[in-house]
Amino acid sequence: MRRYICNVVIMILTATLLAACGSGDKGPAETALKAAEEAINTAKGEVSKYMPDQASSLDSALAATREKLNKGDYKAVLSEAPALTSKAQEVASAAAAKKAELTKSWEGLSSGMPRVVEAIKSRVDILSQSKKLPAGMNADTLAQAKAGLSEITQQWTAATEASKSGNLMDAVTKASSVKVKAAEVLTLLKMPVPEALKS
Amino acid sequence: MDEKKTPDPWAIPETDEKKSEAGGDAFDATQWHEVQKGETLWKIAEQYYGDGNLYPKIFEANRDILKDPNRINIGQKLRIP
Repeated sequence: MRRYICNVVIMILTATLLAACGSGDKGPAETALKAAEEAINTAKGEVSKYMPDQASSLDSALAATREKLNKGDYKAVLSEAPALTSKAQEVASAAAAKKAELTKSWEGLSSGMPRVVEAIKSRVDILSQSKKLPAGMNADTLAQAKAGLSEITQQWTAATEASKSGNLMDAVTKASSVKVKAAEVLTLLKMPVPEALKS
Repeated sequence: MDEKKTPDPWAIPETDEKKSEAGGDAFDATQWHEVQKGETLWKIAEQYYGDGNLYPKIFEANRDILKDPNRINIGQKLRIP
């Protein structure tokens, strides 16, 4: 009987000790999660703009870690939260690099594309005055070129507006579609396609 | 320049050393035409626009190197607007 009581006391003490250790992790776990949350919130603005998929992943991971904290799985939080903080910083750097890349692309496009559009417009205007179209062109070809020019002009305006409103990703996407369409129209008009429009 | 005036179709182009201004601009969509023997602005306009009457467009785009639409020189590089 005495041995039994002794075993029970040891068990109770062990359980108390374990519980004490677990609740001791709560504070550090909360701190670690808060740090991760702050890192994600800091990164979120640019990451959402330039790497929206990564922003969603960070949010999901943060929610999962918070859930573990709520369930008292402090060890898991202590292991995952710092990794989440590092990931947020890493993704923020990648978003900054993406922003720089898009800025460079937009600068090139915005300085070059208006000249391409102007060259197309000039040729379409001249051909519209022609009484007879050159060899290899007919009225349908010219009509397609005119429709293409109209599409290019609209898309380019939309790209410029996207850039002005700070949406570089959208601006570059729209400008890239203008590039493709402009190459098609130049080919229709039997004009040379500039190198920048070939890639 | 009188736009109604037709350049002399028999004008014989002369050699010219002037170089085109085509540079290494990746977005340059300028179309250039190198003048060949026997060509006139009228013929060039006909080739690119289908209508020789539109030769003044080419003349105007090349006023920096052309003084007279009746005188173009072999080897001259003309902008085709």
